[in-house]
Parts: sequence; C-alpha cells; structure tokens
Amino acid sequence: MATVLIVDDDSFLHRVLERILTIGGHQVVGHADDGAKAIEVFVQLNPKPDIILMDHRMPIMNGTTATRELLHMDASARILFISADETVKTEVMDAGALGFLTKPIRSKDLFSAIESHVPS
Amino acid sequence: MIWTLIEGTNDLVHSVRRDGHFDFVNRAWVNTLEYSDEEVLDLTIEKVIFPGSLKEYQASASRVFAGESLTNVETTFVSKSGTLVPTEGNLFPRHEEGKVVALQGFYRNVTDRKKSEEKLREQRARTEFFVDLMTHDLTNINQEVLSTFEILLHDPSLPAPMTELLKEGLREVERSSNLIANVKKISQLYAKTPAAKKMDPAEALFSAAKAVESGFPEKTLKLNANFRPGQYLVLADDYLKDVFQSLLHNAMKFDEKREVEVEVDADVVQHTPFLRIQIKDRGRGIPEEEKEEIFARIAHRREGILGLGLGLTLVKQVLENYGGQILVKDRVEGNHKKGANFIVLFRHEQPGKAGNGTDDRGD
Repeated sequence: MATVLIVDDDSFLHRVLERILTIGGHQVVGHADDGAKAIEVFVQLNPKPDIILMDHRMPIMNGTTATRELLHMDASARILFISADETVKTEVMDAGALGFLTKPIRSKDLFSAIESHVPS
Repeated sequence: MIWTLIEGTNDLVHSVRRDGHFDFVNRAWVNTLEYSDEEVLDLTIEKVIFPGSLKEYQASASRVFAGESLTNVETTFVSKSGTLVPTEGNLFPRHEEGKVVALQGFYRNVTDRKKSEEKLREQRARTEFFVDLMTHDLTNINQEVLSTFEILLHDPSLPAPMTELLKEGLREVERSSNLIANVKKISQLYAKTPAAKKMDPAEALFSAAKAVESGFPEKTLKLNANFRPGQYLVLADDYLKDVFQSLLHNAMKFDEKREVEVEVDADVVQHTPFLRIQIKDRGRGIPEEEKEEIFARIAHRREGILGLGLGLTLVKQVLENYGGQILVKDRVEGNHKKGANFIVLFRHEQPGKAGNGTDDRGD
C-alpha cells in the first residue's frame, strides 16, 4: 500500500484516480490542482506521501517546475508523471521524475509503476 | 536589344556608383519605388534601402566593389511612400579601365512569395496549436472515461451483459486514444522530420509486440521471428517502434483466434542497401484492389479498411523519412483470405554482417 498525492488540474480525474487507487489498495493523502499548490500541500503533509502522481500541463506552475522545486526541498520525494504530453518526457525525467506514464493509462500499469517505485 | 529586355523586365535593375548615386535604374525600379526619373538623379542608395537591411547591403556592396559577384542577396527596399519591397538579387561589379566603378544589381520582387510563406507559417502554427490542444484535451477525457469504466468493472454486482458492454466500451476508448496518438504523431512528423540513426529492428519489434499484447488482454501474441537483438542495424528514427506496433496491432485486431500467430522474417536483399522485414499475419487479409489504397495519405472511410488507414499512413510517412518502403502482399500468394504479408524495406547499416537468410530475389 502506498500513500499518494495527486497533482492534476482536472477535478474529475482526481475523483476517478482516487477511486482506482483505493481499489488497488493505495491511499490518497492529498490533492493539488497546480504545481504551486502541490508544493503547499506537500509541505503540510506529515508524514510525506510515498509517491506524487504529477501532471505536466497545469496553470500557475507546470509539473516540471514543481518537480524541480519539490526535489530541491526534499530530495527523497518520489514523483511519477502521468501526462498526455509525451513531448515533455525527457524534460521531466531530467528534472528528476522517477517515471513517465502517457495518458490514457490502465489501472494495472499505474499499480505496477507505483509498486516499482515505492519500496514495499 | 539588351536595353529593351532590361526596361521590359519586372525585376528591379540599377547601377550604383561608389558615392551611392545611381547612374542607371530601369522602368520597373522607378515604378516600384515610386520615384520620378528626375528624383532618381539626386537619390543615393541609402535612401531606398530599408534601414533594417542597410548593414547587410553595405557589406555586400563592399564585396562587389572589391570585385566579387554575389548571388541570391536578400535586400529590402523602401518606396517613396514607405512601402517595403523585399527582394532577392544578383550583384555584379562594372569595370572601367580595369577598375570597379559601379555595382550592378538585378533584384526580383519577392513580396508575394514572402506573404505566401508568412501565411503558410501562420497556418502551420495554427494547425499545430489546434492539434496539440485537441489531442491533449481529448486524451484527458479518454483517461477519465477509461478509468470510470475500470471502476465500474470492479463492481462484483454488475450483471454479465453490462460487464461485456463495459469491456467493449473500454476497447473503443483505447481505439480512440490510438487514433488521437496517431494524429499527433503524423502532425509532428509533418512539422519536423526526426533525425535518422542506426537502430536495432529486433529491439523495436519485441518492444512493440509487448505494447500491442497489453492492449489485447484476452489474446496472446505468438511472435515467430527469425532474427534477434544485436543481429541487424537499420537506418531509422524513434518512430521505428510505432511502425511495428501499427502492423502488429492490425494483426491482433483482425485475427479472431485467441492465440494470434505472426511470423516475422528478416533478410538482407543482396546487391541492394536494404534489409527486408516481412510481417506475415493470419488475419482476414487485404483484397487485391485495396492493397494500394491502405497506404493512402488521406484517412479512409471505406467499409472494410476503416481503422487501418491512419496507422498505416503513419507507417508510410515514417518509413519515407529515412528511405524505407512498405508494400503488402498475400501471406499465401493468390489467396488474400489467408492473411497479409507486410514487406518493409529498411536501409541496412551492416550489410557485411548479416547472419542468415540473405537472398537475391529482390522485390
């Protein structure tokens, strides 16, 4: 079981992802709808989430910038990208993301990515 | 006769002395830049060159007065009323008693061409913007629908017919996602051709097979390849996996058996620079009259080949970018119902190290 922070500007996606993650035995501990909010939520969370599911294209601060900021604050943060924009894959991996899943993703692929990045 | 030609041409022609004054301008020059013959007598070249273009013009003029001839020099003139006239021209020195005394310039007015180029750039940027926006947002919507269906499928109280319906819906969402992904890739390919490099076709094939198989949870893909990673290298780009993925996807989709058998043979076509890879499926095949059409650039709407079109359009476009080719034949010659044989020709990068299957039959 992993604790998860979801960062995406689509509110309906938050609802379905939370439900999917719950089915998979994971627990969603926080939500943010842009990169800046993600940093705020991450700072407040204690303990920190096992993994952050991050979108790239969001208002105010995009996922890549948020990743750099989060890893600057806490180098042990685990960030997994889920984005429709495959062209940013190299950029986000360079920023320090652990992995990149291209939307749309099936739940089994999401679970297996989380399991491979979060120590059991 | 030469003067008739110079006076009759639509190109701007002038002769400029070292002091910048004109000793000749033709009729097109006068008409385009809107000066009278009398006014030209007092003009200097600096007054008819657009300030933003003056530095480049002066650099070119220095070279011409040093005796050099220049071709395809871009210069923007400015007319008396302030209209900018972009031109492309050739500049030559005029000699008298062994010395360069003037610069002679023949300039083609490229205003219309520049406008067309600008319009094309704007249209392309606009198209790219809309394709990007649509593919991004539609993909997000597909993600939501797909996840919602998956949530519903986890409900144990769901009646069996509803479960089947939802599974069908899931496949449709994935079909839609593949279509969107292909549209985006084609759009990117038209906008910018990726750099070709040496790639291992076996690695791309097996990676594509894995991706395709995961999209058909109720089927297995039995891939019989006669080559292995490390055996061949071909000239390709990052879309190589998409080429195999598209062909294997069709093989899976159009074969009704649960275990889908696909044979993939590679061989070097002797005395040519090509590595031939044949992908033989056991699907419903492609009738003779449709064999050419399936690679057409325009998405098909004809019954029977709908759904094949865009993926294969992408395949063709990708292959053409690095000198490859694709054609389709029957797996069993003369009987298209026994399945298709997609023959892909890649530029082979290690012709001397081919391990097996060389032949000289060609295609």
